[in-house]
Amino acid sequence: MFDVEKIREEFPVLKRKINNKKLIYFDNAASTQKPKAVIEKIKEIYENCYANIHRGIHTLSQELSDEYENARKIVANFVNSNFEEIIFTRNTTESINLIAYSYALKNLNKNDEIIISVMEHHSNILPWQFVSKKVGCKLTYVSLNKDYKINVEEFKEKINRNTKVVSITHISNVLGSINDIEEIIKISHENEAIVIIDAAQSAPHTKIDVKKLDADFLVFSSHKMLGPTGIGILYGKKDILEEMEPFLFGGDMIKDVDFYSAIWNDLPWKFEAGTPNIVDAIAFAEAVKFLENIGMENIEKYLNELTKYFLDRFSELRKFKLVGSRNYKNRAPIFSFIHDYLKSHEIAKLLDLEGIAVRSGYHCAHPLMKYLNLFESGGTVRASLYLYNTKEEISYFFDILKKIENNY
Amino acid sequence: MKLREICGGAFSLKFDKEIEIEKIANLFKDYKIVIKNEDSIKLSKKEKEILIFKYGEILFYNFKKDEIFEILEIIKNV
Ligand SMILES: Cc1ncc(COP(=O)(O)O)c(C=O)c1O
Repeated sequence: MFDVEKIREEFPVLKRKINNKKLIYFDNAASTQKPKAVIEKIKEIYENCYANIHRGIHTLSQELSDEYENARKIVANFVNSNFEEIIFTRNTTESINLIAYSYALKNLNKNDEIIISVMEHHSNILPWQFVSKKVGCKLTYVSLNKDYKINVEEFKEKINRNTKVVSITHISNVLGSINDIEEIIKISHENEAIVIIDAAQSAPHTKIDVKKLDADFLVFSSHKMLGPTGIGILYGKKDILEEMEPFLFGGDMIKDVDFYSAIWNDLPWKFEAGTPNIVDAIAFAEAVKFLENIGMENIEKYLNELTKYFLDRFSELRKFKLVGSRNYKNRAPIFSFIHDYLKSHEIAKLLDLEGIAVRSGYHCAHPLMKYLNLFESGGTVRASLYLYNTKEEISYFFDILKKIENNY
Repeated sequence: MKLREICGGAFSLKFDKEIEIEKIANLFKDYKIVIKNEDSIKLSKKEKEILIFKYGEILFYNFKKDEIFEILEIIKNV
């Protein structure tokens, strides 16, 4: 059973007061809070068993090396991939950059095309602008349908035999839309393009099975799913990763180094140059275990209930407009909205005074804001929920929005 | 006073105490008052908007950094 009160007990920060009010943390799409298991793991390692990994003969180094590789195993199981297909990076952004540098720059030429969508986060736009400029290839955008999802019909029209890379988000960090990635992956493969899925918002919300999805790459960040900052995941199909050149060069990613040449290490270490973020990778595995103990299906079901409740309550408002789908079945609990004349930061400030943390502005998605004509007006307010949020918090949140409606 | 640039084309100027919103609003004589209540005053002039909160914060929209620095100099002396 999903016991939200029991879950909340695990998050010390939820006891905090902000402006003398109980903290309501609705900024989960930016980053989530951390459970005791994660916090304590970090403390435990630094207090009891810290050392550098992979290179030591001594006990501490060997113990921690085993824990680090076990963390990789836990993450691999979490997304149903093979061990050697999981590379630890710093975050989603670095994972996408790694693909752009090590795959796209090497494999694309000026006749090729890259397809992304207008709803991408900057971290899934800028690397492709860079590749496109560097190799002189075309960068094509797919727009949205009336449900605020990537328009698959338009995608079908735009993809062609020159398309070599399709890089899209699974769940929008602004609109909460869940894209039809299975179909997009299938169409991409029929056109012999490789597909990168930005799962930064979906890995926290739903069960990911990379084998079933058949994406070539899938990327996400630990900090958006209860884990520490500084750890990201790059999943890549083994045969593609093997063909790729390393991204960074240095210690640990080699088998042997000569004066003028080197032999790269096996996967996944070929892509992990230098001392990795050992402690946070291990702590991330604790976050994954925490999620798995609750069950991703249960989490998804609970978040769907919150989504439905939030949307029902939203329809009571008069001066606020939702930017995104009203269909709770087809979206994640990430809600963007605007006020008739107050700016997004003003709303966020007024909410902060009541202890509610939301984000305001462009959400690292300037092109989407421009596409939706929300750029000039300063973007949207975004409330994003996660597994420790409750209907009572949502109810209080709407009480405050109504108070703002009355006062402004 | 602490000035922060925030995402969405805005600046926040935070004070460590409550501020007299009317007194600050009077500094912007050529602005129109669009909202006024106990806790805040919102001013606007074309695309520029200023929201002054009594608890000690001012939000500026569509200002350039140099313009903000000029305003800071004036506010400092109030
Ligand atoms: C959809 C999406 N992609 C990528 C990112 C970038 O994640 P990170 O900052 O962890 O690299 C984010 C973060 O907000 C996101 O929401």
